[in-house]
Amino acid sequence: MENTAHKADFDAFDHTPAIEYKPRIGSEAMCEALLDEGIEHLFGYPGGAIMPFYDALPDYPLKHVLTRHEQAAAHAADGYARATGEVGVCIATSGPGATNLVTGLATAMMDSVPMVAITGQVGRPAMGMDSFQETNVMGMALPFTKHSFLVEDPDELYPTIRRAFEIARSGRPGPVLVDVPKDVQFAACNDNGYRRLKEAVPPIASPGLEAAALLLKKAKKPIILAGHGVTLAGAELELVRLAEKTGTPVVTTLLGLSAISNDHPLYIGWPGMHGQASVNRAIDKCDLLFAVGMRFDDRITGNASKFAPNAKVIHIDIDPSELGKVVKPTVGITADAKAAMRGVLGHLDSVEDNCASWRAEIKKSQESEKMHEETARPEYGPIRIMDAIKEIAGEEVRLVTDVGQHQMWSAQFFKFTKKNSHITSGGLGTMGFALPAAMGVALAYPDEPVWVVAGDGGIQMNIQELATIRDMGLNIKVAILNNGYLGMVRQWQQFFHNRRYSSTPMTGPDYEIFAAAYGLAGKTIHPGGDIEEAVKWANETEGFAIVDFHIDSEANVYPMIPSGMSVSEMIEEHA
Amino acid sequence: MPETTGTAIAIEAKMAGGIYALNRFLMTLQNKRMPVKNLEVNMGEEETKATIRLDCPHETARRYMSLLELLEDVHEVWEPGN
Repeated sequence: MENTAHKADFDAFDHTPAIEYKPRIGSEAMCEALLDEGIEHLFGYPGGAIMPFYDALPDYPLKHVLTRHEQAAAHAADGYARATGEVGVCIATSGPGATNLVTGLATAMMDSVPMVAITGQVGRPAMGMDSFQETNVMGMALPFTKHSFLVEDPDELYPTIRRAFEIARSGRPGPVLVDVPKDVQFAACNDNGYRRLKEAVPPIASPGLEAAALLLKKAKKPIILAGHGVTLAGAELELVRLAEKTGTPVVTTLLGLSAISNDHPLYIGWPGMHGQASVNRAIDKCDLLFAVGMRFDDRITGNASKFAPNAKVIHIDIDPSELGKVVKPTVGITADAKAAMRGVLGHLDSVEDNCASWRAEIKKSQESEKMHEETARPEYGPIRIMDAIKEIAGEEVRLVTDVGQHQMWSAQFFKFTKKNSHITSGGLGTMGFALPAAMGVALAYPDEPVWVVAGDGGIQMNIQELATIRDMGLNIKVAILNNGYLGMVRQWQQFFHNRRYSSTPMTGPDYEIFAAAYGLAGKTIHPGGDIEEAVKWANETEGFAIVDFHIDSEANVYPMIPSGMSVSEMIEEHA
Repeated sequence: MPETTGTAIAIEAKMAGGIYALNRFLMTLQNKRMPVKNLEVNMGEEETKATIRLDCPHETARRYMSLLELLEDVHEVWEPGN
């Protein structure tokens, strides 16, 4: 077959109707591969090297969301993937379009989010020539992706995109990049073949399951530590069953929040740098740590050599390279969280409740914390804002948080009762994540409430997305906790740099006026103002609304275990 | 960096041929800070073979082997003699 596409100049596509390129060219194969993967929504930004794809796009039932920055496209795809469990898709052109995606790819990689990013590349004859908008995005993305492809053979385009989806969702999920030269998008394709991948999930070793069950039966002071892997595997029910069967208290990582309802009597909180002091102390004292779908991040362990010093450790993770990476497990199981917990439950027919006194001990240790929280609850500030959002937005609300102090306050004080209702950038800690990620969440669940909680630093990093939100009519409410600082950095400066607030005081726009400039609704609430009324107003506003809560500029997140230290060096507010 | 032992453990890997697969492989060695003491590569069009000597405890080396084996275009990773 004559390759008519090669006749087109790869740098100056003349927009000849797609029908000229029938029966099938690369850009059409790309769209077909996306359709065959069941994709409905794409987030992206066009440019020279991806123009053939965008030219084909209107002929297919694929809904493209034009973001105002490629980074936002990546975060929106990420938010969509986290909320739905499906693979999120983002698109960008070569050069700066591709480099702008990189933060989003790294964010998804660190939190094991399934995503496929498709980038245009300069045409094959122009590659390696330092051509206009040429970057080696495949090479650049290597450390931040599960896999990256450069498709140089048009016949490989369709199967490569299909493979990218399979890699993204198989085993431990993650982002995959597919870089497609412009002339490949024009070129005729002959192969629709699709080769399946090697099996990524190994079978579970049953001796490990039996050993884990035995340790749980014998433990007097066990704790289940549940991570993002529980949500990714849809293993929330198995987590509750395992906890209830054994009477074991449950804690979660930051990304594990909402894997179990905060109302559940066995849920005791979350540990780590800013986790509850009582939870950190419980881990310090426990005799068995059942860690499932988590990777012992340094924000959880602090000084790993002093983490859970009295505990035998059962570590379940789908990624075998995580076992023993930070904490040496007594029993290590390479498995999907759901399958592993089902397997352990299968060995737990008869269990005596050995943990009643342990639960009572933990409950007692939480009394002063709860009393402190109750005292602060009615005051103007983060706790009351979290309470108001939950109370007014209701049980179905999904909370998307940015990165910093507000993220920790949300994790500490928001009551998560709906599964997978907490979305945040945990591993990479990407400021600017929340607003675009919420676009993905809101698009996936247009009839459910989505609230963003962000700081005045992070919200400004992708605030251009108000235009996308307006165009799409997305139902997103935003609460800015505005302290006029890069609050978490300022807090570290206060604690560890003798209050030298170097480059952390920060100004921003009047968000009410800023929102109005986009034709959107905004409100400013000053200290002492009516938090509940403002949240109610936002909740009742159709579509988007932003509330700029001005809060105490030097409010801190407590407790805090300084980086690399242990629970014995924890800084507490009332200490 | 992992604890060093002064005694290198050899591992061998077979992967897809060409520069891209090798690039991904080398990037992973560097990205995960594997303590590579020595590296020999025999790159072919169809298949590339790498022999690495890692200066770390055996258990750590086995974890690195799992990590390398999970790479999409790595076909096989093994310890010579085992």
